[in-house]
Amino acid sequence: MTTIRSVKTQTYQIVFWQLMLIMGLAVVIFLLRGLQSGLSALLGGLAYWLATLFFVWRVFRRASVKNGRQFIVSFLAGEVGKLVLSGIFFVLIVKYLPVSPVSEMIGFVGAIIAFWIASVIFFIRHPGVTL
Amino acid sequence: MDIASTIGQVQGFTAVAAGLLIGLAALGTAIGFGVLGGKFLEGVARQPELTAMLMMRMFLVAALVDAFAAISIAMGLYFIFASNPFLGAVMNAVKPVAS
Repeated sequence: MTTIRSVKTQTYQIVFWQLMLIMGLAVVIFLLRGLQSGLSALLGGLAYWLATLFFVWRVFRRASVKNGRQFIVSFLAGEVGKLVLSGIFFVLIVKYLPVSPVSEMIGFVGAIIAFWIASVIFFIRHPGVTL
Repeated sequence: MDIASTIGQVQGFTAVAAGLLIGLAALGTAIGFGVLGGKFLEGVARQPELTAMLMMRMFLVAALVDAFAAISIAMGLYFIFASNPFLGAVMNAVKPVAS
């Protein structure tokens, strides 16, 4: 039986795997294109990852099985916050840090794709979890 | 005067492009999340015992829905607030003329 607590744990595990993949991507870009590009990719990935972390925290702060409507409200508010925060982080990094915009964009898009890959990894590692 | 006009045109078109990027992304995501949330509530109303399982599915689908919106918003805000690469190309082209 899937419970809210188990869904929360599973979601945080996916977010953890996403962070691992972002770091892996940054290391690959560092090896291919140098330190500045690797750091830019890491920062771009972290811009999206931090926004995702905020989203998950916002959704599960008050999530209740009994109240589906409250979950939807938290979910949509978290999603809006996630989109706004990811855009703000991205622009602040480009504007105030000495980064390569192309590498940062690769890191940002990589972080988005990393969430999908992290979900696949999670379900491969936990075959009992129903999707 | 021509250079100033060209720079103004580039900035103006970039502002329109950034607005379209953010606006269309917001429109698509809003429709996607409207459908997603509606179906979730429908599913919960039909079978409340499946709420937790539906939440997990919703998370995964939401990640697919908001992916392109996040990229579009980041690019749009980048063009507006950070730097405009198209303007840089114009400035590079007019540099030899000005000097």
